[in-house]
Amino acid sequence: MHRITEWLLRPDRLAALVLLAVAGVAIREGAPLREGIMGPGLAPLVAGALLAVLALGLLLWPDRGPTAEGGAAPGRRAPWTFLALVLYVLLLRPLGFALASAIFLAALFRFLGRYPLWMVVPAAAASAGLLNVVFRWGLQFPLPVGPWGF
Amino acid sequence: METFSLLANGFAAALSPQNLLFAFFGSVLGTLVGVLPGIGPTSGIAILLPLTAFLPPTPAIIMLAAIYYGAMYGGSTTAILVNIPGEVSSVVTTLDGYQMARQGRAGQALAIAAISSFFAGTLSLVGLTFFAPPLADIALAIGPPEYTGLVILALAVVVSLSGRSLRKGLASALLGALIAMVGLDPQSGRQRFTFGVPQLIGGIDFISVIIGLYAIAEVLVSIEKAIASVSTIPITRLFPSLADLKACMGTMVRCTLVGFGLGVLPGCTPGAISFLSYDLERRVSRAGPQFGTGAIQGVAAPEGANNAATSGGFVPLLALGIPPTPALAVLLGGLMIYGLQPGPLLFEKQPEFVWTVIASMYVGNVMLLILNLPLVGIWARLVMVPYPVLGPLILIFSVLGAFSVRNSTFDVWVALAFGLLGYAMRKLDFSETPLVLTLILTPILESSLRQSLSMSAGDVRIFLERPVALGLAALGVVLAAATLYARRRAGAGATGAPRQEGS
Amino acid sequence: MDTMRKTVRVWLAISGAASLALILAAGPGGAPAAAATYPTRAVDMVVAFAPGGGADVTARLVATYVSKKWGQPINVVNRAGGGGIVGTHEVLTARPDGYTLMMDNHAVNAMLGASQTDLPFKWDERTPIARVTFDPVFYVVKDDARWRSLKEVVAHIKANPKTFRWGTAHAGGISTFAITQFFAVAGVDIAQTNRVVFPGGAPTLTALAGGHVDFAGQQWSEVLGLIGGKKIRALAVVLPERVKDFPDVPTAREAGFPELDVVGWQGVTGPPGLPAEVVERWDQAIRGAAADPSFLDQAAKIGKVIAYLGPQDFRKYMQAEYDKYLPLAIKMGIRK
Repeated sequence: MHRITEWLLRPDRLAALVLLAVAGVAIREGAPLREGIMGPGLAPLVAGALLAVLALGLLLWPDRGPTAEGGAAPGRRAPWTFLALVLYVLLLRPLGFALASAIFLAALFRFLGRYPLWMVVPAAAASAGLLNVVFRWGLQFPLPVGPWGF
Repeated sequence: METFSLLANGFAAALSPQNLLFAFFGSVLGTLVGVLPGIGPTSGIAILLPLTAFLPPTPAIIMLAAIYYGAMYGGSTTAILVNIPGEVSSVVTTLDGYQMARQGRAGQALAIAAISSFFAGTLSLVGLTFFAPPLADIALAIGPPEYTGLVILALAVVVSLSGRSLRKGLASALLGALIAMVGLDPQSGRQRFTFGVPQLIGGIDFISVIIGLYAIAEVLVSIEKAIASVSTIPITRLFPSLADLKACMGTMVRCTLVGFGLGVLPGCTPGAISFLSYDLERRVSRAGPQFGTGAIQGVAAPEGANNAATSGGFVPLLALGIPPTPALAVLLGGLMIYGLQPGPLLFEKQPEFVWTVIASMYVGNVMLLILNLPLVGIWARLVMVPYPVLGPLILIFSVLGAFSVRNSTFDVWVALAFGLLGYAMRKLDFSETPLVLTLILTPILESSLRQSLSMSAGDVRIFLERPVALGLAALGVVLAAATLYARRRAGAGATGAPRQEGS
Repeated sequence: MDTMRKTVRVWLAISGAASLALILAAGPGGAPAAAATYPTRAVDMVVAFAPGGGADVTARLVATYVSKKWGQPINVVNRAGGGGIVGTHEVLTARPDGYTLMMDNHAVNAMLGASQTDLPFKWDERTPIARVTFDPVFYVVKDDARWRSLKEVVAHIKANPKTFRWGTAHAGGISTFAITQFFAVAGVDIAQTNRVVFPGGAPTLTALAGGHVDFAGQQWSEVLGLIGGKKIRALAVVLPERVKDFPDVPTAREAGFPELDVVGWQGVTGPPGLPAEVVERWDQAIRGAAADPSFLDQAAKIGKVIAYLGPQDFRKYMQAEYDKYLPLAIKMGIRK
């Protein structure tokens, strides 16, 4: 069991498994829609089959070791940033564009740049305000408006 | 020649202070809008269309055309500075443009983009001026079989752009193909890969994918690396040297021809054209081997081809009333609101209008150059902004950009999802360029192939009867084989370098 | 650190100015009038297609006219995707308060209901307000084609079905119905002919003009460019009378096929359960537009014929469309 997990844990192999799954979905989606060479099912089927072959190859014979890119120690900054982004999009409608953006920017300026709060908050608020003005008024974007009217 | 006098009249009208003003405004607005990630010419025109509603037809069209050009240029700016293509056709510009920015050569990259665009744009407008009607007729002769051949040729580029691992590049390409199939199959109207989600019926929007794969993923990766800013190398010169310019001459001429020639064909998207031009340059230019690491020709080629393709696109639009791309379709809609009907009749019934528009396109090109060259200095300094500030701002722009395409929050989530995918792909050394390429090309390939077979009642031999189609496809296969061979010889990694950090 | 300080100062200055401007601009002007008649704020008119298309152009025409009349902005919002399904779905699931409406058209109404079985909504669960315009279908061939009339085309097809190619925009759209109805009425065996599907009207007509297909049936706004340019020729138009701009093109009846009645249209509809007051106001406005000569003029410029119908008649029309298209869709294998 241990040997298998070790064997699997190479990044390339994990990617290959994901690709195999995708290929599987593609083939399943394509097969019932086949109506000859002009049917809608042919393309997914072919693409899925080719992908499956490539993924299998990748699984059994992965590329050589981690690259410079992949080798960079994954810190926690990126995942947190992404989480902040997700929260931001979720908060857009309830809070409105201006407020949500201000919070988002303030949080990230602080988290990523370690600037003192007295700098971060006004900068974030100002940026959010400026963006709001430019996009809602200048370009007439239908941006979500928060409960306080801005 | 009558054309000259008509054109002269057009210039007289275009150079009127009022129209010049509108051309200027259009260029500025278009550039600003185009700079925003994901907001390119199509969205740009759609957003700014209401602004022109108050104007009489001629200045309105002049302004719209200027917006279009401006947006195209704006898209390249972010592609070069922060590796985020403003829209489809700027994707290729990121390959070398961003590398140049990281080497402290952002100024040169931006400048050559402007110069190449100007050169190609102006030259191709000459083609538009004198050869529009006959070119339009040739364009009509290009049918589904020929398009199939063309796309096969374009797909050969995938091999070149696969990065270090060909297998991963091909897998990436196949992913792109599958993503393109989500939604309604255009040939049969059946739903594919929609899994019961209504928003997926509309397919996965291309811009959301680009924003995710390029903007969001790039920010995530850069944040992880904790880079101080895009470039820490002090900017010493802002403009290309004379030697640089000379080295690009051949490139600029070639990309003009390719861009204009292909831009004339309805249905040939600027994205595909920029890829083809880039690949051609890579094979032909002396600086070929450096493509992907910051070769200035790698920026000149796609930028020029883009602009030439724009002019080319006006050929079917003005001469036949057929918009070759979605952006020009919006432009056409704008024209029709003013009661103008593009088509050969337009040349006959309202020649002053047509020639004024063409003349203002010349003017627009000049205007863009004049406007943007001085701004290069300002833009280039952007690379020195601390990343903890720049990164989050880019993320907000990404959200806005994704939203703006179809006014849909679903597209924003798609962009986020692709941001995650792009991040994973970079960590795992999968090149994302093939994905983008097949995303553009698969719908065209599938449609053209099935249309061709419909035309012949399922008989594959239709391809044998059409030499152009066959020739193009064969060329594609040959080029792919040649690249494969070259890769094998150089031990992979010498051609089409992947997005390499820390190299 | 110094750069950051400087940047912050700049931002503070800008934000100060911006907030001031915002406050000043947003301040007064929010108080509603005493008797709040609909609409009290901007209305969104959703178009389920990309800008520049038939529905979009009509929407802008109507929106400009009505917003001028009422003094409230009517925003045209484009929500393209899935052949109109995405935008339609959004409107049909929106709050029925009258501030989200749709510029409906033939493609996402009865026709859609007839050709698709797995829609995320029920096609007839919408509140009809008023039909506005027609976009008539023209049957067209290449300009130098040898057929001079629809009857000649039919004769040719019956003699050589296997080499005859006809092009349609999309798999189940108006051009498909127009041509299949024509073939059904003329007694042509469709299965023997070749149908080529294109992603839109423009590519279909381009292919026709280039000789890659022999026959097509597209709408006025799509064909006028190429007809004017003498690349394609119209054999008939499906309308009670001839179109002013094309006096030489016979109507379907004159061409010998009076049963042909597939026509494109646009109209305003809303989510189910729309209040009667909203419907009434809009109906009034559109009725007024339909009688206004300047409006009619502008409509003609974009290739549309005014065809006003009030809400009850509109509902009946929608049902009649469905009754017309359903059997055709089933018979021709369009219905999936």
